[in-house]
Amino acid sequence: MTDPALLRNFSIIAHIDHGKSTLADRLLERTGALSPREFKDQFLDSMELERERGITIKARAVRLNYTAADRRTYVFNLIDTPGHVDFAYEVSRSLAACEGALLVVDASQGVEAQTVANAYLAIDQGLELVPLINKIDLPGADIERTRREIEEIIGLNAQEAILISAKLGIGVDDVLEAIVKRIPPPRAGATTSARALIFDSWYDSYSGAIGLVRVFDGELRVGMRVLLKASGKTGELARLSYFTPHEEAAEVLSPGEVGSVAAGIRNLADMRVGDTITSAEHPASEPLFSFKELKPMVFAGLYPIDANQYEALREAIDKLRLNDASLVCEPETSQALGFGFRAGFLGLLHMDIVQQRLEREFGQSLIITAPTVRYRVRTRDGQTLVIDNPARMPEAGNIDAIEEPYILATMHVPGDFLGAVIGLCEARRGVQRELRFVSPKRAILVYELPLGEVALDFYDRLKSVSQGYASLDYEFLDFRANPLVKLDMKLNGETVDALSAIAHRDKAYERGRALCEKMRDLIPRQMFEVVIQAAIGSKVIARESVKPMRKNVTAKCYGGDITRKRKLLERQKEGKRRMKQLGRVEVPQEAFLALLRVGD
Amino acid sequence: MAFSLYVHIPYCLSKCPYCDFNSYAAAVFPEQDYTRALIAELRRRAQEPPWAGERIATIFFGGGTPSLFAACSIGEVIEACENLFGIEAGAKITLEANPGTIDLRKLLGLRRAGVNRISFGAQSFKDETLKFLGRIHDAEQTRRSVATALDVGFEHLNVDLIFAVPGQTFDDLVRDIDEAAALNPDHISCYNLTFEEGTAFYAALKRGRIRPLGQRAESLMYALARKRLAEYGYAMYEISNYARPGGQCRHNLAYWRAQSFLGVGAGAHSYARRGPGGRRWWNERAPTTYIKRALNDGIAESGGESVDDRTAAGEFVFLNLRLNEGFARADFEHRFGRSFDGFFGAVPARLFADGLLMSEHGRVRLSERGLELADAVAAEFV
Ligand SMILES: Nc1nc2c(ncn2[C@@H]2O[C@H](COP(=O)(O)OP(=O)(O)OP(=O)(O)O)[C@@H](O)[C@H]2O)c(=O)[nH]1
Ligand code: SF4
Ligand SMILES: [Mg+2]
Repeated sequence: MTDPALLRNFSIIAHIDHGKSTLADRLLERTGALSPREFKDQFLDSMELERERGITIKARAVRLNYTAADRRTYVFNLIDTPGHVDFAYEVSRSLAACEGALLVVDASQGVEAQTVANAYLAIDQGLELVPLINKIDLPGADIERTRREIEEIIGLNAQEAILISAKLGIGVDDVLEAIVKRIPPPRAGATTSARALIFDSWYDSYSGAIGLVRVFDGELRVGMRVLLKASGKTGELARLSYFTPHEEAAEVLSPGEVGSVAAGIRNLADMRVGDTITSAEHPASEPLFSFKELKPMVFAGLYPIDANQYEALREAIDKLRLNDASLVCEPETSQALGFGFRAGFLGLLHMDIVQQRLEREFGQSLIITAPTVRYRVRTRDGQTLVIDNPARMPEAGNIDAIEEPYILATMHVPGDFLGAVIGLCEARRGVQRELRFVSPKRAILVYELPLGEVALDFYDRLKSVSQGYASLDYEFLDFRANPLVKLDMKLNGETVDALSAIAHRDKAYERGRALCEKMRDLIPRQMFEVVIQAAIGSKVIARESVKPMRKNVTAKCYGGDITRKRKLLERQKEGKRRMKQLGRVEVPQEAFLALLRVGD
Repeated sequence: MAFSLYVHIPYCLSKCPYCDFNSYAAAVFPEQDYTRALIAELRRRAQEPPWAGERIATIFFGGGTPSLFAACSIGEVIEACENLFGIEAGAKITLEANPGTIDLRKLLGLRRAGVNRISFGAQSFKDETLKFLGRIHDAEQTRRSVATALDVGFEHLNVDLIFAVPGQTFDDLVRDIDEAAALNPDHISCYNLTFEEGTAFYAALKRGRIRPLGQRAESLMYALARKRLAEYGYAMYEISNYARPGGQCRHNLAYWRAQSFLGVGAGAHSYARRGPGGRRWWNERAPTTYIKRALNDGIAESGGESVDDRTAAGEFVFLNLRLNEGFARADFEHRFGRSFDGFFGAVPARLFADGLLMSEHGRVRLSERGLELADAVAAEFV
């Protein structure tokens, strides 16, 4: 066991792209955890999608040995966290396992929305924060301004902030020493009954559910029988290990230590993040934390393009959920699309990632419908319904009121773009709560916004009207009644339930028109005319049509090269196979997401 | 059964910017070696099934520009065919000619060599259009060459036209058709210009330097061509081919009817039918490689595929549908052992209901509308 005095558990937190994973690379390198041969940039971003997009999606924990200036060898448990707002929950659960956090701030960007949000999460949990000003090598780095922002916006003393370039390795030695000196060791736990917090979990096809745990009291030992307090499951600890970053087996995990446990639990849902592992023989009476259940923010339908692939899609989703406990999924049926699923996501990036993983890792061809939020509907007969699929909205005549979720959105906006960002928020039915200048050039803007308006393309629009400079953080606020209506889309006279949307009454016409236009551009010409209509109830409010194909014929079939001709036809047919047949109309995948793109 | 023979001559004086045939611009070319290679390949095929012991029904010299070759070279190939296989009496022997590469002497020579049909790559009778298309001849040369061919006694002639050329007007097309008809050939081909990958036009299109006329104009021009040619007595019998009675190109009919054909020469394709499907192969495209391999052992194949029954049925339908007369349901059933409707499930019924396919007198064919969407219809069957 490690002497708790020599242990340091910390997370690296920051706004997206401020350099957390790059700093983790340097720490891995300086402590000799990786040989140069093994090294690659953002080493801990090991998922294919993470590497491709250059972002961290899943938090990662590694154990490092560091011999400090005082000649003692310390054990670090480093947790690299994601920066994107969709994955804020990953940050909060990682922080629960730590005594401190490195707060990375990009000197060329300054403090942004998730810098603040994540810093407050850490402060709320009583963690020691070490501010680091990163990317000082960039010509646009403004160290003084960044220092001021850390002091004024977050309220930390930034005089001790360490100046670093994670990319060039400048200041990394100071960071290592600061971890030793400024982050406290874990407090000595009680020795009686064991308690460890599960702060991440995943599925391993060999060992079943694996929990990443931080031991607070007592110890975990291979062979010990354990109880998971919230799920009530018991099991025997078959394997304990930690990651250096290579997996290494351990006999014991003692107070303050971080490691993974396998306890013969087959179902990932029983290894809940936030749950407490304790001894089955002498169970602790109290769990360590009562974690909030994770709530999805946006919902969308997932359907196979080919109805015969429903079972295959179900299996793929089941497998994906083994590794992504935040994905919520229930079977549903659509008149237009047949059997499929209603899925809940943490946000649009999460939705995008789920779709990509299903397609790439599991080879599924799927239709994903436009994202929507969860509405509360009070009916005339006094019921309250929760509706996360617009198609299920009751008849207008039966509705007393529809309530929609609101969020409190905090945006950090450079002064030059303030007007544009306010314009965007107003257009999205926002209510301004606060506008505060933290410096002459930088404002914090707080708006109450209907989540339904944000779930569509708000983030993209925010980035585009501010040339990428504005940042956003949000939290759920409440439900509010508004005059909302159901907007239906028809193709050649048939209502397509999967295309229905909920819109504010005052904006329904505009949205219906925009949707018709976008659909017209997305649906390719067919052998007949395709009429696209938007309707509220029985009233058609907009109409567009896709003119029939005029001519589609190869002039020549020369030299007897029939193979080539056939291949061309096969390619043409292959293109059609990726489309969904609705009645006789072939609709491409993107058309189902037209709602997301009406702002383009 | 007698078969069709295609002979490919891959050389041209210059490469036209729209052309994606297996053709190479060359000022000098190894005519003798190439001719020997063709004969070597024919000799080898004459010993193998399914060609051994069968006679030749039609010969087509295509290219490239076969009219670049001396009449005696063409004569040697025809003579070899006669000796190795035997040519059926009355067989049509066609040679493609570029109007800029042919004169009275050559036409006489070709006639003597056994060629009895000339296909002229006229493309247009407007010099501006010809220039745009990168052709080496002008309209006057075409008029003269075709007239000379008639004088020399070729009773079967084809004139190729291209329409939907950027900048071309409806009037231009009418005039081209009028001029072609005035020359009195018994066959006219009228092709919609397409932009094929790998051509100079394709690159120009991608860079936005040229713009196609668009589906609407192309479809109207196509309708105009059908109507105008019909008025001159040229009935459309295939998507791009029109003929007076007796003038149909029997050689091409073999492709469209999915029958066996032997192709020799660089990049030539062959199809040996066996049962419902069969085997298809193609030769080395590069002339020098072709020559070397053909001279070595008479085989210059560079690839091939066997066509299974399902694929063959799809090909049968999309090829036959190019013909105005379509195909007889009985022929389909005879070849594939099942009815047309049974074989393709729900597809035929939908196409009949949409008015794209028509059924009459036991035959299936494209409607007027189906004709314009022939590829979209064909894609349903592959
Ligand atoms: N010039 C410079 N670039 C840096 C520095 N640190 C990181 N970067 C670059 O900033 C980009 C983002 O770095 P990451 O380490 O992936 O950022 P992150 O905070 O982990 O991002 P997320 O996990 O997506 O929130 C990469 O292109 C890095 O190369 C630095 O010190 N200087
Ligand atoms: S002459 Fe014919 S084969 Fe030669 S390049 Fe022109 S179009 Fe192609
Ligand atoms: Mg990262």
